Amino acid sequence: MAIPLVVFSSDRIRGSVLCKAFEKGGYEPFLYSNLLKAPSVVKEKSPALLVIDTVDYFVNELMHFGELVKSLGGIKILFVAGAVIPDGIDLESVHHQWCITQPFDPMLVVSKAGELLNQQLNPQKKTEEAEKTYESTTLSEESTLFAEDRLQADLKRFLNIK
Amino acid sequence: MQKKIIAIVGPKGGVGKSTISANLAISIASMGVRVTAVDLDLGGANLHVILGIRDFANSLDDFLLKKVRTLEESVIETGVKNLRLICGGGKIPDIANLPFQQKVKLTNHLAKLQGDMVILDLAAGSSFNVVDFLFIANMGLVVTTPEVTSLMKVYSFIKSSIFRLLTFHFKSKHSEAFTELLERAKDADANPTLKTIENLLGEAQKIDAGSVESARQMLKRFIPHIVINMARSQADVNSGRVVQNLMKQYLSIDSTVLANLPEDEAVKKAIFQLKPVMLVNPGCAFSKAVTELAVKCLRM
Ligand SMILES: Nc1ncnc2c1ncn2[C@@H]1O[C@H](COP(=O)(O)OP(=O)(O)OP(=O)(O)O)[C@@H](O)[C@H]1O
Ligand SMILES: [Mg+2]
Repeated sequence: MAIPLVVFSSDRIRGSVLCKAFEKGGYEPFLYSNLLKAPSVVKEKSPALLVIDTVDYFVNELMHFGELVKSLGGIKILFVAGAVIPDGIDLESVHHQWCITQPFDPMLVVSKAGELLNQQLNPQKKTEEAEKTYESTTLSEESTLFAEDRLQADLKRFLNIK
Repeated sequence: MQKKIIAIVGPKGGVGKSTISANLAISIASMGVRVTAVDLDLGGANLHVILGIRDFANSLDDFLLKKVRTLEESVIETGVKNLRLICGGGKIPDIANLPFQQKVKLTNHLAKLQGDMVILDLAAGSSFNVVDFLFIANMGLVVTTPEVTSLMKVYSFIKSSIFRLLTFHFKSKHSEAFTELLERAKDADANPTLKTIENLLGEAQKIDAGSVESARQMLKRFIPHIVINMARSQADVNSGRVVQNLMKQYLSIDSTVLANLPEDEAVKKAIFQLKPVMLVNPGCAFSKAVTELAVKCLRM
């Protein structure tokens, strides 16, 4: 089963390109533009991840979203930015990551999404979806994608807490 | 504003405790908070060097060797607005050797220092004195590099801190039964059923449920803030979360990954110039990340 995720982009074209890339990566993306709808969309789609393309949103929209997101109950969020990360968004306590891509590289976003999703996966129970994502992302390096799992396994072994 | 004590610890040597202490202190001071940085790395005092101070008339030794009556008298000015310093002397070889009475006295005097905030730069290792200064602080930053060897030390450091807390906690009541249990839990190989702190508390519950409940409350308040230093890649940045998860799972400790500070040539260059990087290069990646950390420290 494909992993559902929700993409917010204020630019229809960028948004569609992102969704295409996610589809290719084995995900089931849903595209929206109005950030204020995030809570209801999350409720409806229960996505594994929110992808927010911050380019072209106004800073106050993003700040408002930063407030909204706290009520979304620990969902993971991947923020996409161009050359600069917009500041002023309070993301403390939000499980998130930034993907800076300039020039815009949708496959990089897909691989970052894979990374972020992978962070919660158990090394023993890596799902087929995650494997598939990994295979289909040209840009992801094996080292980054699995580094966290490997580090965890190493630490457990060395600390003898397996 | 109530005086806040921030302890900077990091069980592995050379991970950046002093560099972070100095630059964090400058950054916080620049926000209008009156800070006193204290070099508690008695055996290897170098905080003054990182702050660009060559000579000093007073040091912590004066207080510890009773040349002055109050700790306040061993404070020197740094030339940075709102930032004062207590240099580590060098005559006392190691904070690990500080007798208990002196530790208590030092703790009392730290709390009485003038100003709004005290930042303690502690020695490497996990001696009881380092652990105890972590406990007297309102906030403890645990500095580590992303390397597995350093991360392992962080985990072990937090684990031994928990055992120290529990040992004290259980001292008053049923002390023998608890001591015996704690000893068994320390040897995880021989006692696999006591592998996690949760296992241990479950077992302790049979001795005295009330004490265990208060122990749980106490552990809940112990929140180490992990600071990853010299991060070079996304994988490095993620390493903090890995220890965080392990600590949650096996030690029942909630920690935060408070900051990821990048490896930055500017830090080394500043050392050559004998000036703090925050002053000579406030725009470099390291200084910026430390400034963000400063804001978080003030908010918490
Ligand atoms: N982010 C960084 N980028 C580059 N170099 C760094 C960084 N942080 C620290 N260093 C360098 O690493 C070395 C060790 O730093 P520092 O003395 O602060 O570590 P420490 O943990 O206090 O060491 P000790 O355990 O000996 O007290 C110094 O040479 C310092 O300049
Ligand atoms: Mg040091």
